[in-house]
Amino acid sequence: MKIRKGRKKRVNPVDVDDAWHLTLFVADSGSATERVRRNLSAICDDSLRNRYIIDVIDIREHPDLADQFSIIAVPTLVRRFPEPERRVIGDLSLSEKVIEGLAMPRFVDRGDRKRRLES
Amino acid sequence: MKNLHIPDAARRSICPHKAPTYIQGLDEILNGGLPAGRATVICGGPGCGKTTLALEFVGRGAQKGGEKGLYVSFEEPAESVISDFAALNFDLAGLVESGGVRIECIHLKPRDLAEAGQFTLEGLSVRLENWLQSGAIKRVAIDGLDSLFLQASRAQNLRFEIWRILDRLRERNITTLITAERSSDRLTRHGFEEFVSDCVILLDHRVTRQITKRRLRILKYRGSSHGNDEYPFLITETGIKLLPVTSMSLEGPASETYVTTGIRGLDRALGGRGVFQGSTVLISGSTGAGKTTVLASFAAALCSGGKRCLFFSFEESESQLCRDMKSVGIALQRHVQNGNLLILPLRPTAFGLEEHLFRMELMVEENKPDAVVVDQISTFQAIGKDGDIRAMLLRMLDYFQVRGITVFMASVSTLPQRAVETEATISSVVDVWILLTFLKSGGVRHRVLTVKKARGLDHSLGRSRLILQSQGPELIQDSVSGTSGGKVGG
Repeated sequence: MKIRKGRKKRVNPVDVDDAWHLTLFVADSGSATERVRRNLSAICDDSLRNRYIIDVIDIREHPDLADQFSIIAVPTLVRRFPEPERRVIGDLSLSEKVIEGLAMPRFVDRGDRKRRLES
Repeated sequence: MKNLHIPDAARRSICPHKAPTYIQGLDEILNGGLPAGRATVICGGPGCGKTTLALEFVGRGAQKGGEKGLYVSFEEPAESVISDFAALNFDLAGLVESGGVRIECIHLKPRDLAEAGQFTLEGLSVRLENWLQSGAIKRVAIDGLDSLFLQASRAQNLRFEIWRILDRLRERNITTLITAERSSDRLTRHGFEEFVSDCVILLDHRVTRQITKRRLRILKYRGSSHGNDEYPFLITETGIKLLPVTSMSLEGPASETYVTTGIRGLDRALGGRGVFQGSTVLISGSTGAGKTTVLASFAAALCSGGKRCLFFSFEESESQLCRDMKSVGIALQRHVQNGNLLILPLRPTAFGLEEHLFRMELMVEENKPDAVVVDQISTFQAIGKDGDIRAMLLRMLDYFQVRGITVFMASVSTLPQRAVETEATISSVVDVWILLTFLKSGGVRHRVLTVKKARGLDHSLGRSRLILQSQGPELIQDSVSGTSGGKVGG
């Protein structure tokens, strides 16, 4: 785990084996989804540093995946790895619920890195 | 021929087509079926039959009507649905396999799913669209929508999502059935009747004095006439059964033909040719006096003539009955085998009076017998009060009489006061009343038969003796001095 100075870069995880794999199911491709993605990135940056991969799937384009994952509520965020599978629903504006729901690790938030979550 | 151009939507509201349920009795009340291409709400309390009705609508529609269907459950997974309802007499598992019926379960899982902000239920309509696209589905049942309200109470626009789904189904001209829980103050808990305003059916399930009564009522059916009453129904192992409405308006046919009792001496005692077809005969008497024998003898003689008989046995099982009757020379087994005789053993305590009556009526509807035997009516005392029993028996007799079915019933008359009153009521209604008692004479027990009443028949007023022997029962006229030509024996 490296401590990066300066501007935070969104890079893919360095150590693929340890990385969290999250899939976000949405039914929208506009601004609402953008907000959700930003909320998600913020939470992941804080909790997981760089060790995460996110897929975003629009269920309207992949209804078979919606069936496979039993998606009813959108957005739904599914933790694929680490196992077992966990999920939360909603626009992810309640970061505490996301962290709790996906059992994300907690790190001490340094004041300068704290980001305001958008909802 | 040139027609006026009527836009499709308007045409549909003028004369809606019907989607038959193929449920016995229900399509008559609905005047053909549910409104095709529209949505119907089935509303009722827990355990009142909503799921059964929804499944039957989809399953029978696929089996009998060739319409592919989709059943969506918000509560049970597909495998439980298939196993729980395996007994319904259309092959649900087979239909699922062949693609006639699709079963999907929708459940927000896990149960303690965290809500981290606002969400909608658009996944529902996306997946439903997908299922509908994959082939010609004409019927959809959505079962347990209230469950969704519970699971997703904080969803944004929940009601809008549901409205959207129903609207899409309507656009595709799919006949939809949704089930909803009854609320104590208004109709459905979540106001589904507002979403669906074409047809509303109410299922009621009441337990009074330990007897279950189920009633169905059409609350509303826009654009169609329908039965307005409360219709009793049963949920049997093979599905929902209503009593057909049309059968209630038949008139009783008068008959001039005779039916033999199977015992020559008894026919003679009744005037020579037996009883009138369609008449009701009551055999009352002491336990063991031979009532069942007389009943069985009648049944056997009727079946030998190629007619059909239903034998309701509240006392013995089929094998016991056949064996006992064989020992007195009445062969029932062969009539059972060639399908003329149907022996139905029933435990009196298995159901309440109303349900017994209903089941008997159902069996008659299904089998259309020429005669019915009830052995015996006194057993109902174990399950009801006298007033209720009398009312039920009178309804039963009325039901048979109106259909011209000959009825032979047995009743035990050595019980105390209760039996006497019931007997008094019934005996005044029946056409023929025969009493069988024991009389001891010189250390020997004789079975004595008296015809107490025989409407329209020139019957003998004296007593006769019933002889049970291996060649078959015989009735010999009582003689004052000594024995007559027949064998003596108990």
